[in-house]
Amino acid sequence: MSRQEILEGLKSVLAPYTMDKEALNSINDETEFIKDLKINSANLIDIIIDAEERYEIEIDPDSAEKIHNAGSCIDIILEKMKEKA
Amino acid sequence: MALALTSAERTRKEKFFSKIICKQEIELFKSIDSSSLSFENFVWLAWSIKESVYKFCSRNNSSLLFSPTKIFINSIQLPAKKNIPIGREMESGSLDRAISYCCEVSFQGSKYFTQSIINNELIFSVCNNKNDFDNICWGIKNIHDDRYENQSASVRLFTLNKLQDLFKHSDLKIEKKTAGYPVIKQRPNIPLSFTHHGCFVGYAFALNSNE
Repeated sequence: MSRQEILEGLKSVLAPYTMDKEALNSINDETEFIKDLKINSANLIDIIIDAEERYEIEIDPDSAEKIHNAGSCIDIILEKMKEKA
Repeated sequence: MALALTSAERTRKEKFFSKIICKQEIELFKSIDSSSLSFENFVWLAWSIKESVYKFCSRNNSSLLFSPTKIFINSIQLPAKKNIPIGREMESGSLDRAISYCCEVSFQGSKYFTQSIINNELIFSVCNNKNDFDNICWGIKNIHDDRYENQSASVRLFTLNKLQDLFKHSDLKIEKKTAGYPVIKQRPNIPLSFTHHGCFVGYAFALNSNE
């Protein structure tokens, strides 16, 4: 799966947690979840669990704490998919 | 945090709560009177406490990452009074221990102390590095419009009103540091923190002994 494909899938994961649809539509690696998408920190666990379910992976605390923007999230998803393969 | 925006069903799932609390904290929950605090609310209380500790620590370390399971709640003391009524606004010079959940927390080898209030609608926590909250001012407000821009504007106005009343200074300004936390331009040494979730916004700041 390519980074672009994961980015597209990530949009669906993030959609329920952001009201800023314009920012979501223009998402890129640098897009910060809290600062740019205005996602509340209380939803970060939801996002991690939704990503785990979508990509059938498990994201441990050490990896989860590194997720702050779309790029870092894609890095972790790719890393965990690779570990599982 | 606004409890209406959380899912009790999802919170009860191990996959979810295990990303916030550890086994020792589950044992801590079992040791308290669960008639006064549901498991779901305990999980979100833990989240609120841990986020307050993270915010407290990240003022001095902007590269700090938030990892709830790396912050440990060692002890919890239940409030003497329960079911606190919260109107549209609630403010105080300090958090009343009689209505607060008081916890001792460990993070990266240091101890922190938190006080939290919970009712059916919200959880609000403040943190200090000593078990003394007498100089901490806080406020919670219920707002109508929960869009981000309004949350942000409302919490600033709410805080400024309190600060201007306290310091008798009508021209105070709140700025945001690049690290993400707010500062009072004219009183940069006062640590100030904001929170907002859904229809609730809140602030906490600590007054120095000479303020």
